[in-house]
Amino acid sequence: MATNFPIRLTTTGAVLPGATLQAVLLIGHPMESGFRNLDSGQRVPKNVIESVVVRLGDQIVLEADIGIGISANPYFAFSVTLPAHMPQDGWRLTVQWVDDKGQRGATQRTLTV
Amino acid sequence: MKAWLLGLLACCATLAFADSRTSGFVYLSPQLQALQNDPERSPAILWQERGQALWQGQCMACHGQINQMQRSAASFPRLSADGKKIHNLEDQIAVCARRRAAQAAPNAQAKTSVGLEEDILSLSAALHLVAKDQLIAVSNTGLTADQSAQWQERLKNGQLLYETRAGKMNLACMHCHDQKVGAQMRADTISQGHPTGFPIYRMSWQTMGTLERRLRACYSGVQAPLPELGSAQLRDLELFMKVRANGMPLDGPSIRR
Repeated sequence: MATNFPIRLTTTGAVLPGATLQAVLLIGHPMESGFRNLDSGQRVPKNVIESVVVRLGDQIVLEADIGIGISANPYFAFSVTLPAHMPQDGWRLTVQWVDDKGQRGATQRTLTV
Repeated sequence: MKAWLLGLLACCATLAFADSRTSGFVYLSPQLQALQNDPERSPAILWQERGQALWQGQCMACHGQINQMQRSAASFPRLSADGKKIHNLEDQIAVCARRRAAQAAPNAQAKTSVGLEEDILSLSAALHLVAKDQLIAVSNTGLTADQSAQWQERLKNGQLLYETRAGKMNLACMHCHDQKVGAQMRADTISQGHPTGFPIYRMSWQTMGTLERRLRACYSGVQAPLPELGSAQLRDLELFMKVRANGMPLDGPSIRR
């Protein structure tokens, strides 16, 4: 999925103050290790995501420094515990990633009771 | 009475045959089966959603809603319009895309093959998703006598390829996929080789691929020369495999090892 980097963020579980949700993040990215050759013998240049940050509001939920050890179209599953008080317009779960070429992607989800 | 009994027996035999055919899905590990069954988590969804968006932008004007195309994926491959070749669904999408590009901008530079390939794969994934649970129905009905003869010829060639030994391993398709079903080959279980789940997200490819790509991987596995992409050889084999799987339900885009 080299073009336009699709991204999906989904959560399962009831959105309630204090609840713990299961979140799944799927990023369409080639994650080229830089060690692969085409049939023609040409080396495929390295292109991997280096950083993924997930925030709930301003709080960091997950921060991952990843590299060539992660396969293409990386999949992250993690849990998110919601604070006891909900902000006025719900919790904002945001994701930002950046790869070694400086390409970026982001998505967000608003969680309301 | 005898004829009636014979008829009943034949009927039972047919049913037993139908029941003994299974999709490649059953040979997956429980974890991969769970991944495939979860539409939110399967990586195939990245292609499906892209395909749906492409459909909205480029195909809907002529073909209508994608939900109306349920029968499409189940009826390919077909004989091409000029009657010379077998076209699979991806070929047909490519024909459509090229015609559309030529109409829109006759002098513009054609889209790079890489971009086009990815588009075709995405559209194929979206079309196979709406065709989930449709029964495979590949036949020569509706063709003229000449075309029908041509179609039969291609089918016969496909069967010949299925049964012909190839490569340093000196194996034909049937030696594994008919005679060694369920046996282990390295870490994998040999399937019956029914093309019900394509296009597939194959873990070892780390991407989506067509039946054509999978067939080439098989040729590579028996250490035979790889047929060219889009060659008549691969199309004939695909035709035979689909006819062999006639009546089986499509799984939609699937996960494979």
